[in-house]
Amino acid sequence: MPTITFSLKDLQHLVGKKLAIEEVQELAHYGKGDFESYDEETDEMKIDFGDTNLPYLWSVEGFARLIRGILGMQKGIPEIKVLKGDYNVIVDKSVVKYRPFISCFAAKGKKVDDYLIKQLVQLQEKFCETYGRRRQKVSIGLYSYSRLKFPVHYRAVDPLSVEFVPLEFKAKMNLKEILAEHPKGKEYAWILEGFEKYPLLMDDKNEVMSLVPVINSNFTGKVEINDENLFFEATGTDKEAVDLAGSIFAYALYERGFEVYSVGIKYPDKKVVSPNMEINSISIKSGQINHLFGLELKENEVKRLLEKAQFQFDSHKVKIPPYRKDILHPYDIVEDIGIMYGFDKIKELPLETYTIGSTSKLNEFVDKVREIAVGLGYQEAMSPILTNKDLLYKKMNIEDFGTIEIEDCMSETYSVVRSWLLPNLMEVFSKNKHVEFPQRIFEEGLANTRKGENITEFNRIAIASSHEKAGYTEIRQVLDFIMKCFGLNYDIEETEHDSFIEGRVGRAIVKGKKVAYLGEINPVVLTNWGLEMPVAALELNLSEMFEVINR
Amino acid sequence: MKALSRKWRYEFDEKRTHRHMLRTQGTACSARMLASKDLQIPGKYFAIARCFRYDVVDATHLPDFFQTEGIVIEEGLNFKHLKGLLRMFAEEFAETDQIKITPGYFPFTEPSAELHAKHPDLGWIELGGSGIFRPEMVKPLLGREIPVLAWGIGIDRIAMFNLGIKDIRQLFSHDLEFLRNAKVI
Repeated sequence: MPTITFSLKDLQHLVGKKLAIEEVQELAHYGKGDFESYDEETDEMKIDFGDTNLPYLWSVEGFARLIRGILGMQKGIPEIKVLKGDYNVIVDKSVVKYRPFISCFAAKGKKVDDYLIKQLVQLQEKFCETYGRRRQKVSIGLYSYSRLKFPVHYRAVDPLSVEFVPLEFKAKMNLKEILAEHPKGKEYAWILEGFEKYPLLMDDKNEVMSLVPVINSNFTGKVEINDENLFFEATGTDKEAVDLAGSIFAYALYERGFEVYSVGIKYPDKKVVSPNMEINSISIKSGQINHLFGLELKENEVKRLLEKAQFQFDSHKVKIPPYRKDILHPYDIVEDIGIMYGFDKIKELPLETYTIGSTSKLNEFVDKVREIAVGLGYQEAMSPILTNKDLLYKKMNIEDFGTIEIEDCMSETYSVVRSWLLPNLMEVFSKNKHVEFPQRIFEEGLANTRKGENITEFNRIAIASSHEKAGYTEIRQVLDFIMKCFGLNYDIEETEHDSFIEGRVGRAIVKGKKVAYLGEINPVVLTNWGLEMPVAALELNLSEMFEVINR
Repeated sequence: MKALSRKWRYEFDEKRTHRHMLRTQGTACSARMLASKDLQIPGKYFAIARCFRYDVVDATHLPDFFQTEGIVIEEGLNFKHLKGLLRMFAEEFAETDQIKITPGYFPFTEPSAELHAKHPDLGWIELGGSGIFRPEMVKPLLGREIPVLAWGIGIDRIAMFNLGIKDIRQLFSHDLEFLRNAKVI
C-alpha cells in the first residue's frame, strides 16, 4: 500500500486552508488513508493510502483535491483547462506490437524546485511500481521540452543499432549493454525479454529520450531545478491505465499553477489528442443506497454528497472525473456517497436472526486429542507451517517424500510447506537442552505432501518425550490411551523408518488404515539435532483417524 | 447474461487459476463456503485460518500467521448491521466500547470498512477489515445476489495484546520455560 510523504505546509497551500494534524488524520480516512507520522522539524507528513486502484491519491495534489471536496470548497468534477499545444508525437507501427499506447502533455509557466521534483518522482514511482505493475503496464517519463525538438518519435528499434548515455552514466552504450550494465537496466530487463526490438522515444534530431520502460537519457531525460517547461509521457500496454497516468499528472501540475498543453498523437491508423480527459458516466438508483447503507436519501442530498465526492450528478447519471478509473459498478459510487455521508453517522443495528452455532466435527475431534495430550502432561508447541528441507529430511535422516516448495521464496528457512510435524518437535528439543527434564511436548497442525500435481493435506499430531529413560513403552502408552479414549482397537506392525531406531519403531493400524508411526528416535537423528537425551515419539494422522471413527 | 459491472478488463487466464497458491488471507475460506452445497441462508460462518505472506521475519511479521474471518448471509442486511457486528467484536475481543469504523479498501467488498478500537495502553489500534461482498463475487458463486457481510481479524495481534507480548515471534516460541509459564489467554 503506497505511503506518500509531503510537507504539511504544501498540503495547506494546495487546499487553501490551515489544517491541524488531527484534521488531516480524519480527512485521510475519506480517501481510505491512514496517517503514519508527522515530523515537526521537517514539516514532513506520511500517509498510507490503502486503495490500490485510486492512484490519484498518491500525490499531495490529489489528496488536497479530495480535501477541497470534503470541505465543500470545490463541488463536482474539479476544473482543468487543457490549452491546445502544437506538439506532436508520431507513433511508428514498429512499436505497436510491443507497447502500443502513449499519453503526453506539456506543462509550462512555473519554475520547478527541489520539492516539486521529489513530489513528481514520488507519484511517478508509486504509480509505475504499483498500478503500472512494476512498469510493465505503465511507465512514465518527464523531460524538459526546451531540450527536445518536436515531433517526438515513438518506435521500436534493433537493440544494437542505437546508442545513448543513460541517466547517471557518462559513456554511450547500446540498448543491450544498458540492460546488462545499468542498475535500472538490470532491474527492468525482464519486461523486454523476448523482444526483437526495443521501444524507444527520440526527438526529431534523433536524440534518444528514453529506452522505454527502462531508463531515460542523461541528456534529455531529466527535469532539473528551475526548469519551467515540462514534457510528460506515459507508455504502456493498457490504454486506460496509460490515459489515467496522463490525467492524474495533468491535474496535479494544473493545480500547482502550470498551464497544461495538449499533444497530438499520430498512431499509424488514427490521430488523437492527449491527455485524454474523457468523462465517463454510470447510472445509479436510489434503492441501491438504501440497499447497501439502509439510508433513505432525498435526491438533492444524494447530489450534494456526490458533488462532495467530486462527481457530477444529473438525472440519475453520475459523471466520473478522468482521474478515477476505479468505478466498476454502481456500488462503487454508492460507497462514496456513504463515505461522504459519514460512516460514523450511520446507525448501528444488531443482527437479529437466530442461527444455531457449532464447531466443525473435525475440529472438535482434534481439540479432544489435544486435550488428551495435555492431560497426559505434554506441553503444546506451535511452529510456522513454512519450513525447510534440511529440517524435514536431512536432519531426520530420511528421503524427501513429496514436498510443496515455494516458488521465489523470501528465505531458505521458510522455503517449503511442512510434510510432517515431528521435525518441529525435534527443533524444540534442540533449543531447550538446558531446560529441566523430562521434556514432554506435542504439536498439532496441518501438513501437506505432494505427488506430482496432487496435494494432500492432513491434520496431524506429533507427540514426543525426552528424558533419560524415554523409550518405546512410554510412547506406546500414550497412543494406547488416545485410542482407548475413542474406543478404537488397533494393531502395531513392525516397520522401518530411518528417523527411528531399527526394531524400536512400529506402525499403528486402525481398521486397516495406517494412522501412526511410533518409536525411539535414531541416535543419528539425535546427533543431527545436537541432542544427548533419548527421545521417544509418535506422529498420528488425525484426519485419517477421524475418517475411521466416522465410517 | 448482462455483465454485472465494467470489470477489471484484463485477460482472465483460467490456466493461471489452476496454479497452487498459499492463501494470503482467510477470505478464500468464505468464498468456498459461499460456493458450498452446505451453505444455509440465513447463516453465519467463520474459520480460523493460517495465512501466508511474502514478508521478511521481524517483530511484527511472520511468514505464516492466523486470521479469523467470517460471513453473515441474509436478505435485508446492510452496512448498519455490519457496524453492529463490528462493535460486538470490539467489545468481545478487545474489551473496549470505544471504536472507530473508517472507510477501507478490499477488492472483494463494497463498501469496505476498517475497525479500530481504543486500547487502554496503546491507543487506537486496527483490529480488522470488513465489508459487504461485491455482487461480482457473490453472484458467480451463489447464482444470485444477496447481502453477505464479511469480516476478518488478525488474531495474532489480539493474542499479543492479551498476553502482553511485544514480539510476534514469541507466539511461535520454542522456549519451553516460556511456554510452561505463559498465560493461556
